[in-house]
Amino acid sequence: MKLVSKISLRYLLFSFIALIVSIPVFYVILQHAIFNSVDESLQQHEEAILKVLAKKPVAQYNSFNDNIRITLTNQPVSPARLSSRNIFIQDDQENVTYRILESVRNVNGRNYFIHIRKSLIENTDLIQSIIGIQVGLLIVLLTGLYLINRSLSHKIWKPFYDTVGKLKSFSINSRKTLQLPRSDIQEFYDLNTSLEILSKKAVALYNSQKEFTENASHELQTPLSIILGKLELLMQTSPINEEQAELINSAYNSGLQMKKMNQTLLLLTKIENNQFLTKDDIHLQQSVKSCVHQFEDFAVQKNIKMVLETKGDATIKGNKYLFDIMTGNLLKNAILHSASHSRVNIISDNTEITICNSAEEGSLNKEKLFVRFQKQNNQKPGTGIGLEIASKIASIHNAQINYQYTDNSHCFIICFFQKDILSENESVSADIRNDI
Amino acid sequence: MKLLLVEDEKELCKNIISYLKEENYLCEIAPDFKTAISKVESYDYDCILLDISLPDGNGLNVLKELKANKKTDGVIIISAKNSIEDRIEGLNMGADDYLVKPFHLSELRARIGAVIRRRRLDGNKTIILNDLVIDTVARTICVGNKYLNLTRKEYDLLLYLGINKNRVLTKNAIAEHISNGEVDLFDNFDFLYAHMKNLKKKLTEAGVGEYIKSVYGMGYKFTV
Repeated sequence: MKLVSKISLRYLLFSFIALIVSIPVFYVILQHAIFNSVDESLQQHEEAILKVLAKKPVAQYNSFNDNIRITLTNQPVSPARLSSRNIFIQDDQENVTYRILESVRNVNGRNYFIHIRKSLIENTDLIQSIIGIQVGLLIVLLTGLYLINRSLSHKIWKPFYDTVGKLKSFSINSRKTLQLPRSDIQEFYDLNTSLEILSKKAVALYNSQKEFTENASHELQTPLSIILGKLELLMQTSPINEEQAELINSAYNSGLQMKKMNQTLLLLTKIENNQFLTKDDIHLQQSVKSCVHQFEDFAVQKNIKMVLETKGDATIKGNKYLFDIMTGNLLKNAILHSASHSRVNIISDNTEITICNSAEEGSLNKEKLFVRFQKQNNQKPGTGIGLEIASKIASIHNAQINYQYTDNSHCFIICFFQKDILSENESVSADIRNDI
Repeated sequence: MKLLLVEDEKELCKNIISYLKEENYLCEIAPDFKTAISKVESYDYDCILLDISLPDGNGLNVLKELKANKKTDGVIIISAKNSIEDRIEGLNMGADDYLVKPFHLSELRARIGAVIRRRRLDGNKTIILNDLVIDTVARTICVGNKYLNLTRKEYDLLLYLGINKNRVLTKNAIAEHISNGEVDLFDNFDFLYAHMKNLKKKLTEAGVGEYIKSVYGMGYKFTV
């Protein structure tokens, strides 16, 4: 729900309740006021009658006016009693509310029963029209308020929505800080300036962190070269006993692992820095084919059968070198993590590249899959950055790598978004390699 | 053979020189850009190992200078930069090879050998190791006048071992060499053992002595 509608809804709800409550209250108050004035006029009328009654006979009143009835009575004197009553009027065929004053008065030694009544029909009409007008006015007021609110909210909130839009498209590794328009509304001005400061800080932090990784990896290369070289030289010395050989070898292997890690980190930083600018035409099916070909030896080594199936012929724009690294990393993982004598299925069509291998230990943890150094199995070699690199490369190529666990196999699917595909042709071919 | 080592890191120079000392190469060191330029101008080298990032300049300019003076010294770029662009730039400028730090010294030795062989004017592109004759152009190996029937991998293996003769080569360095750098794929070196076994068998069948020896825990050694 939008903030505006939330606020408007509160306003409307309040207005509605106010309206519901105010109408009967208003009605009651109005009626009370009318009764007061009618009662007053009835009492004045009575006084006037009493004055006249002292001089003239009763009959005259009763004959001309059916609203006044004066009769002689034996009842004791009583003060004026006021009441409302519905009376059926024969002529109009309807009930009319009357306000009635009844009293017994002593005039010139005789007791008179005085009954004066006054129709409230005009007053009821008045109340009705007043309330009608009030309701009408309120409705006009509310609709007006609502419309003004809405159009204003569009205008007033525009900078806010602009800011949100910019925030959505803001990417920390684009190296650009957030540029937001100046707003003359204090809140938005504050919001925009704080966001700009925040983005500047974030970008600076991100850059310095990236630089650190880059520098650290770079600076490590030289000492690492020296260490590895010295170990290699150490191996050439003699005599070396078994114990020494073991020690040298394990130091050497750890050094190599570090070298691999370092180079992978450097590659990752470079990808993140968008340092791969060249764009080539990549023929999807052909590239996958040559990648599969490249890994044939390793598959043979593990007695793994690679089955490549290509459909169609699509070309995308991208960096060939990176593309090969991405496909290679996924293929490498597939071969590395499948049992020997199993199959690795590769399907490449115009929108997807699917690489499936048999799973040994159930589904992988999806959340941690593409995160740096999250090795799911510590027994296997690898730096733990391969998948992150693959997914970074995919995102540069407007693609996405999804993971599925189906039929006891791990499937990694590179999905290319249609708009990037330059050309497509339909043709199906299957290619079975390493049929051992 | 004259070698120029353009590299500012002293220890790295020491490593290289010490590994190459068995060959009778004459190694000179240029620790900075200025020295490198003056040395390149005054002398001819068979092979120049060129580091790109020097304290006072870009190593690639040494290469430019060489090419401007129409010198034909072999050049191997040794760089910490491992991007395809740098590699292409270096090779386009006329370098013979591009090696990324950190590298195996045995790999460097093999690359130097290849560059020097390629540049040899007398057309002698063979390597002779006792009774083994390796023809690097035809990529064949013969014993006496009999050709050994080797696979591509076995040839690469034997050449690599032969050119680094009398040195211990680590399994990793060999594996990396024959698999173009994709060693981390293997959980073990079974594939290397398999190739090695086949190679040894073929050598024995051809009546060649036991040149290849495994060195416990570390790797292999080709002893002549």
